[in-house]
Amino acid sequence: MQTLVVEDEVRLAQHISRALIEAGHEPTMVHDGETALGEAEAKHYDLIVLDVMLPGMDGFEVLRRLRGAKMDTRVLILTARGEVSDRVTGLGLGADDYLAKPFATQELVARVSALGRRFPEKAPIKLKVGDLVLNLADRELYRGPRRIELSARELTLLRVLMREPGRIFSRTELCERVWEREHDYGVKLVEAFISRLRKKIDSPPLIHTVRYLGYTIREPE
Amino acid sequence: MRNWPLRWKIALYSASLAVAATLGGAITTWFVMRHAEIAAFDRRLTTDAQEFFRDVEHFEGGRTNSGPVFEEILVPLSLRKHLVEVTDASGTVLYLSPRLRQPFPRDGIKEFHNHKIDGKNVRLAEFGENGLTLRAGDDLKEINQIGRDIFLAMLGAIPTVLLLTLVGSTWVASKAIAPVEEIRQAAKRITAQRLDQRLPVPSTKDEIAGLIEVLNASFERLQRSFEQSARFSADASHHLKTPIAILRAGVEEIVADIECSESIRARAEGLLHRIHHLSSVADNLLLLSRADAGRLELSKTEFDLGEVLEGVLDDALTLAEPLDLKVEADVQKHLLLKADRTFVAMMAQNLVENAVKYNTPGGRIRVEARAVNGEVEMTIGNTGDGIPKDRTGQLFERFYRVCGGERVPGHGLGLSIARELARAHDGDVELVRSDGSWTEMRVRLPRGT
Repeated sequence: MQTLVVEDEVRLAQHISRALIEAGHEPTMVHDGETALGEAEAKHYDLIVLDVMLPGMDGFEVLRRLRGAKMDTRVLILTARGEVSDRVTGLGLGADDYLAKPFATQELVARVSALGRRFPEKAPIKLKVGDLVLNLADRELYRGPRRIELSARELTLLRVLMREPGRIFSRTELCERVWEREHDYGVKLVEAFISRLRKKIDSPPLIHTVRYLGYTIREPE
Repeated sequence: MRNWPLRWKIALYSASLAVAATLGGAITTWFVMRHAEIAAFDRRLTTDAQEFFRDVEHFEGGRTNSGPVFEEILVPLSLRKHLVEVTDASGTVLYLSPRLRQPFPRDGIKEFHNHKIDGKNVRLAEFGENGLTLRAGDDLKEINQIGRDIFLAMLGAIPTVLLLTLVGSTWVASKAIAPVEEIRQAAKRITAQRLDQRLPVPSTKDEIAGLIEVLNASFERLQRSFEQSARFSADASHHLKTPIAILRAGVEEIVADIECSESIRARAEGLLHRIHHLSSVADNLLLLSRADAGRLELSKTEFDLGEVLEGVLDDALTLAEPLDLKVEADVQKHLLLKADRTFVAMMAQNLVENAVKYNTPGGRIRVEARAVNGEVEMTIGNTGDGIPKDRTGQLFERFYRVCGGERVPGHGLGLSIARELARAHDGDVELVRSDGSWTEMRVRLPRGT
């Protein structure tokens, strides 16, 4: 997928590009708003990853002009502020998604891939990995015919894992996705909840530890 | 009286002054009047005496010493109403007023002086001519009466004066203070969110206008420093988080790099979590700086507090397990709240985290939530050593930790953040109890529905 990465910090832009290349996308890097606008008008891009704080023309202005020129390229906004007003401004100007810095690279790649699908999937009500079925509507989990009771955090954690089976989540990322804010016992909690989930789901195991990287959920081979 | 409105005070002062002035006026008038009346009396008596001597001189019957002649003819009527005594050179009394029971004393009478006669104060004078001596005088009853009447009349005016000045000066004071009241109302409207407003400057060049100019200048400075701190939090946010993002992406690459040795990847994974921690400290500091600038943004939604607490209690149970802590919860069902859900969760999370941290092995944590008088009250209690009495004041200070050290994780921002978040919702966080066995914090939040 043709992706334009607009980020003034060259190092960060490089990291993003490398991760996108690894995931099979074709990123182009630019480092300021004016160039980004010219690039977007000159060539067709499927997606623009757009930083808000740019020297000269900022990200919001770039977005405003893009939408003003009737270009409906999908836009993922990166902001440092993480403030409600920024998110509201960005989405109000026609951004398709929003990610606050500092983000997990894998999270960015996953969002980019999701936005790249021509017809965005409706969030499914039932998540399935092998014979494990999570019904989000009534918060019920079944392993085959067996019903499993879940606590609030277990449910959120399992939902994050099951939305993207096969993707590796670092403990840090799980911490960010499941807990409202950094928890002093973050890593400990992730480990404790993963081990509780494993016990409840039972064998054959579905949640796997990937050494140094984190955890993933996938069907047994 | 210290708490009286200014206009009442001014009215009272004015009225006291008016009463004092009236009283002073009455005394002065009485004194001056009396003096003038006495002088007039003296003049009249002198004139009458001169007339008497003239009459004696020109008496048709020639010079006489006959008492009856004086009695019937010579003493003029104007003198007769006073006390009069006429004697000849030898001291024989030729005429004596009927009101006088005995002759005047012989000594000491010369010019006008006051003498005591029959227990009465009498003003007396002695005149002499051609061997005749006329002593005349009167008590000053009439003059005193006039003085007293005038004095009383003025005293009688005091209630009227008092009433008039009270009403009048209250009105004047209200008029004078009206601009001050306007300033108060206008200043009240200028809050952290509307610091760009200014007080209207009147066209006059009086003290009030001067005051308004000074106040407006202060608001200007205040606005500038508020804007600066708001801009600071936005700038600091960018300049902190972008480098953290670069750092994180770099470390994530090492973790994912299969060409790196296992021990390096393991260490990088550990670093990743330190970075996450750093980024959360930055988040917390920025949150506090926004709260200080009064620019904390709340995105309020209606939710059930029970749902939020479910997750927090879940964490508490998980963390409590290895420490052998008992977690009790008593949360009212359907506790609807309109607030910023993330922030409410943060408050609960911070407080429950503390309840775990500062607990003793085998201890207890109790979380309660209920609706009380239109507010939601959430209490979080735990066993433990408690907070020393002399430290409770510092408890909500930033970076303050009751006991530091490696055993207890965290950076001492949890409580101050919980309090700022609660206050941004017009609620509060307080320490309700802390002794050797039990520590309890209470969060109050308006339901906002």
